Amino acid sequence: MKTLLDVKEGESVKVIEIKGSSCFCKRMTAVGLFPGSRIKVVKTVPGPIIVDVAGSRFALGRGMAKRVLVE
Amino acid sequence: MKKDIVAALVGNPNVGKTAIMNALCGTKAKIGNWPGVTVEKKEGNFTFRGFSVKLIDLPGIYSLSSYTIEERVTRNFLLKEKLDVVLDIVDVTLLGRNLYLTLELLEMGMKPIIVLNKMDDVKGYNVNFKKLSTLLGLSVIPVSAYGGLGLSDLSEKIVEVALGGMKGNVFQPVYSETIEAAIDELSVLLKEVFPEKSRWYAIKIFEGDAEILDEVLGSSIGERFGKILERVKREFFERKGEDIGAFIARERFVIASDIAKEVIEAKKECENECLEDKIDRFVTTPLTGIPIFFFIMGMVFKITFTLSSPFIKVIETVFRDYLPSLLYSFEIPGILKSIIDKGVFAGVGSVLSFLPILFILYIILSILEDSGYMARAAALWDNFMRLFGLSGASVIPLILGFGCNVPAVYSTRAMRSPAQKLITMLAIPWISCSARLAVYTVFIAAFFENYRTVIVLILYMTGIFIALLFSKILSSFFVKDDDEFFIELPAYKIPSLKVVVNQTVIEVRDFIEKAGTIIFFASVLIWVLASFPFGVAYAGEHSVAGMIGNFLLPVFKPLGITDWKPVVALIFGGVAKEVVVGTMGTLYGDAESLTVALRGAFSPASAIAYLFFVLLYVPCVATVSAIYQESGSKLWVILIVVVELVIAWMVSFFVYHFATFIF
Repeated sequence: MKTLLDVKEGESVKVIEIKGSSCFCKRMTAVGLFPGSRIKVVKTVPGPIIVDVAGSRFALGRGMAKRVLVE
Repeated sequence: MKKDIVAALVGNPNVGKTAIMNALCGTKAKIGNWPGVTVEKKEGNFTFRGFSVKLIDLPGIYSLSSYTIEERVTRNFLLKEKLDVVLDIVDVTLLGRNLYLTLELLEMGMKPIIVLNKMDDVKGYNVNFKKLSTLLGLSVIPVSAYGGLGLSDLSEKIVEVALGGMKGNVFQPVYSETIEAAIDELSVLLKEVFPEKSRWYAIKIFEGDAEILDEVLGSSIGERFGKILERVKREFFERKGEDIGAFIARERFVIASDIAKEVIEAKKECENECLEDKIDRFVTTPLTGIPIFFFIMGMVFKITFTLSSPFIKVIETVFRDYLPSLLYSFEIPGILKSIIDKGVFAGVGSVLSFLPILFILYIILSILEDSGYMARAAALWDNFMRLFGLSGASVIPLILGFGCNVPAVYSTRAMRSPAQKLITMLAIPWISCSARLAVYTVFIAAFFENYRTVIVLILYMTGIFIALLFSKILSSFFVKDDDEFFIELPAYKIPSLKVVVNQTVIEVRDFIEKAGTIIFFASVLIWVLASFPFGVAYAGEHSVAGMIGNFLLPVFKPLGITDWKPVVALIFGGVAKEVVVGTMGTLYGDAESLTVALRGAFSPASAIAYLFFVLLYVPCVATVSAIYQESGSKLWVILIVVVELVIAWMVSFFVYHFATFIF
């Protein structure tokens, strides 16, 4: 399965699933990261992944990014 | 008629809540912590048309899920406090995401005033705020905290709502059929006990809110409710293959985005590669980001020390030379002169001498924070800091520690994870501040002129090494929470000088009020120790201080210290570490120069051991009081003081014996 870690810089992808506790998923939903949403990966390695979600920008730890499955 | 109005500010992080508060209240604000938690609480006041308005800034949150402490603090405050007005601060440039929280407030039964901030940044498209107002059934006030736009409209609206309340029906999100049916099923039962909140409770329980679920399960319908909830959730899962809570949250986000789409006219998104992407990549990739980081930090210190040193000199001259000589020209008893000079002047002087550095450092720091760089620096360092149980957010506080530990401790306020905030705070005192450099300089001049750089470098590296090691050990005692790195990178912008200066004035005043009094009393205490019993030489062998020095001397003998005077200097250095040098100057007053005196009192090996002790032993009183305020716990303060003393002694002992072997 492809995760956010496998996306190249500058690419836009569609989120399929977010693994983890339901609390974690809901928190991500509140910022626009949920199955079906489109996100753009701004920066990959090394360190946290930077993504653009509906115009706002977030840095996610790699462990977190691994839990985001994408198309 | 009602004259006092209480209003709370709710909103996402980085929407400019503080800037709005600043624009309305100026410097009339105070900072504290929410009871029992290390979450910052800000309050401000302003008067408008004879009304006195109190604003309470709630922590920045993305949702009301009670997942983080900030979310719990906000939710409980909104539920329990008697508020006249709730202001929902919305970043108009990120309308969809911000409206998510708005919808949650509406579900909760709130009728907030929608404050659309950052209207200045709306360029090339339109936001139809009248339509937004109609859609939500709420008052919408467009403002720009930086540009000063719409603030009087906002004040007017606050008073109007406080007096008359919000009229009419407000928007309520309606979810898809299956979800609504499930909500209805719970609501029917919930109505028996919680008639007004049944819908909200049902939604929150589906979303996994443990506090509300416990409340319901503990009520008279608890048992029946538990069974129904389980069945409804299971049925939903069987039908949709997913947890109902996640579904609700997602639909809410879509509803919020749809509202945003309806009111935003002709917005162009940056599709492929924008400038911001390039900058972000540049500053967060280690190869380019680390040099930039060190360049910026170097500039921060350079600017701070250059700008502050003339002010510090003036303060020192006034309090050490000018005022004392003025004092001694009066005909008053010697004892009075002594306490005014060495107690009051020295105390006030040392409080004031902190201010220039604090003030300038805070200004530069708020500029970095507001510009958006700070969040990027945290992202840059996260990986490295994780090796030591810290996170990217710990970097700035630790680096600031090199300038002065006090603002460094205060800057941990910006950190989100409580455990990491505490660990960072306790690691800061190991970082060698500029006051300690003053001590190194004097000793190096006396003993190691040729090895100046090496010795200073070794001392600094030892401090960093122990800080990281200490964090690593301390972090292993904390339960690993879900503290994965997650931080918003706010859009780059040019900070407003007015907001920055106001913010700094508030923070510095906070320092004077809290730490200032402690430093002052510590100085007076030192005077008492040095002057009693009356008639002895100040801080001489027969004073209380001298006796304590002699009493403690055996502890320092293994470190190669054979004289009581350096011991007394260490005690006095607890006020501020540069005082160590000043005290030695007083105590070795008869010698030709301090350099000569030091050469008589120390061997090179004991001098270097002494420097290590100065580096590592108890943080100064100002730092201790800052840690106490920020952690809110005496236990941690005592722990850090004891640990530091023990480590300082052990390291110095090792260094002394190692050095005797080499020299």
